[in-house]
Amino acid sequence: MKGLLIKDFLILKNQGKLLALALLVYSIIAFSSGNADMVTTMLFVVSVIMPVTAIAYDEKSRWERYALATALNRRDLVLSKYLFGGLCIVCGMLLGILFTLAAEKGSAAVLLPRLRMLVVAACVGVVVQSVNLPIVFHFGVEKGRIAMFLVIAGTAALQFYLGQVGIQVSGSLFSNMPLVLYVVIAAVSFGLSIVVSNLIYSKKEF
Amino acid sequence: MENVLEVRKLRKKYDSFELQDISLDLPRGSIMGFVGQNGAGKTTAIKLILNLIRADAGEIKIFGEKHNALDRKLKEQIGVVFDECNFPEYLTAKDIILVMKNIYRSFQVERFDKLLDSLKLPKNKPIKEFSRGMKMKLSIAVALSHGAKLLILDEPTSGLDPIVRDEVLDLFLEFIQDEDCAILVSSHIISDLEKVADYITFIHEGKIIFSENKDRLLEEYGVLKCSHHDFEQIDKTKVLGYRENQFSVAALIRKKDVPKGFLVEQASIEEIMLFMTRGERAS
Amino acid sequence: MDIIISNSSGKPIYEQITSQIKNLVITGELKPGDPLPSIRVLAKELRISVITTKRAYEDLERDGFIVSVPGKGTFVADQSIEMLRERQLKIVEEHLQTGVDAAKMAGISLDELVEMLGILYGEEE
Repeated sequence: MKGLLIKDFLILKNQGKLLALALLVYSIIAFSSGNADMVTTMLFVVSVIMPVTAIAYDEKSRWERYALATALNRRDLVLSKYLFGGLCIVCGMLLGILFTLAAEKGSAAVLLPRLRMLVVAACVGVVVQSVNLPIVFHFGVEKGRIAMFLVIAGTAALQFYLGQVGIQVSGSLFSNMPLVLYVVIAAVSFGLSIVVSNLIYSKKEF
Repeated sequence: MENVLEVRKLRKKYDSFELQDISLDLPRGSIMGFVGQNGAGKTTAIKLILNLIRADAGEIKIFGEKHNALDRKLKEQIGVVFDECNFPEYLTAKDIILVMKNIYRSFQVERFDKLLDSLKLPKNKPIKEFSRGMKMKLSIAVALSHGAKLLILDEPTSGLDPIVRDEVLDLFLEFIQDEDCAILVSSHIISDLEKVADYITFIHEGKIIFSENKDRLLEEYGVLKCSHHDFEQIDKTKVLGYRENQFSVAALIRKKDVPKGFLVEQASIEEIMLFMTRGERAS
Repeated sequence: MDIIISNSSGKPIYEQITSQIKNLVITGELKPGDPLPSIRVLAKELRISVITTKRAYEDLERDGFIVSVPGKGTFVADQSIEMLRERQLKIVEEHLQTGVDAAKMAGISLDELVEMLGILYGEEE
């Protein structure tokens, strides 16, 4: 499985220069402005894009059928994408922390909320990824995008409907939970997602 | 263990196509040509052998073990080449070394490097810029660099020019010098296999028509050529397929069944296949 | 050692190998004890199937021209050339007898037979 991760990171290295530049610029802007939403969005985007892009590259070169003919098995392939996505999110979060510490010379009172926000954003990213990956594994990248869009649209619609009925479900409701809870939810959704993906993948024929 | 690969009564049903009762044995030290038209079922059979798809019925044994219960060490001894190069095209050959080293414990970096040199493959160019022949040579180089004892290739030479095909054939012959190794290569280009294959398995519309020692096939079958008039006198039950034009008839027949005085020519493997599939049935 | 295979001659490839090696032994080009290439190397070099070379070697061993030593390889048999020639003469005699019998049955004269022999011998050259 190490080989799979190496492969994905090597492709990223060779192909991701444009993406890396864009992310870098975006990060600098986001962190220097201290805008919470921008940071969240970035980690959100990273968590969705990275592993899906990796899967897209695999699909393009029909890597999977070859990989399964080697000593690798289906679980290895699934797990490697989760690890890849997870590593990208963690890197993004660490980068964010670095920037925050570098840019903000303020007191702990100013720093801590920002850092907390980063961790929360990372956790949300993990949850989003956990929802997205099984969909992509099942439908493939193309159809997976559509499916994911429908999920988001559906969630928005649900939020709207609940609002109409008087139940306010807004972002602020979530951002005030204890940090530990976020991490736990992220971890649980990560684990569950892997189980579901393994199930989906074991049935897949190549 | 005499047979590196054993397949018994394999079955797989799709909506528009069915693979029925596929059986074959690949003895060690031999090359088996797996031939048939496009869509005859070669790729499906190979995918079943490699456990990429699940069979509806049947048994497959590799190195004497059930094919879906191979331990890692045995799985590493199977080298695979598909008709398209499956490596991500943004990687270079050098990148591949790093990746494959961590996929196959038995990957031999030096050997791979030497193969790249002798096949004249660039090490720092992204695979995207390789020609089709180069991509195929790369795939084969990888397959030959991890101590494989069984090579399975699905249409490795289609789309390649005769020069590259010849280079590839050389690699096979070198591989088979080790008596414990075996090659199963599927192709619809028969001429490559006709010379060097030890066994030929012919698949047509999902069924195995024959799986035989190549020399025996060549000894057994001939093409009889005669006039329409003379053709009438022949026992049609002995004719396995015939083709006629305005001026004469050509019929595939077992050499021992040829009536006296008739002109019979050696049938090539390709002709055997053509007559059996496209030839008219006489009875 | 020269072995030349023709894909277009009617003769099966294993027979071509057998007769060429027999010839080399009888003419003394291959001497008793000389090593022969392994069946695999021969197959690879001539670009033919291993089964073909195996069969050729089996026939040669059966006819006493070569001998395979397990673990060491295959060598030209330690027999006098005269003996091998004798054996080959016997085979020729058997074939000729068959031809003579067939000729007699069809009423073909000795002269015709000799003429045919001359033509065939010339063809083989």
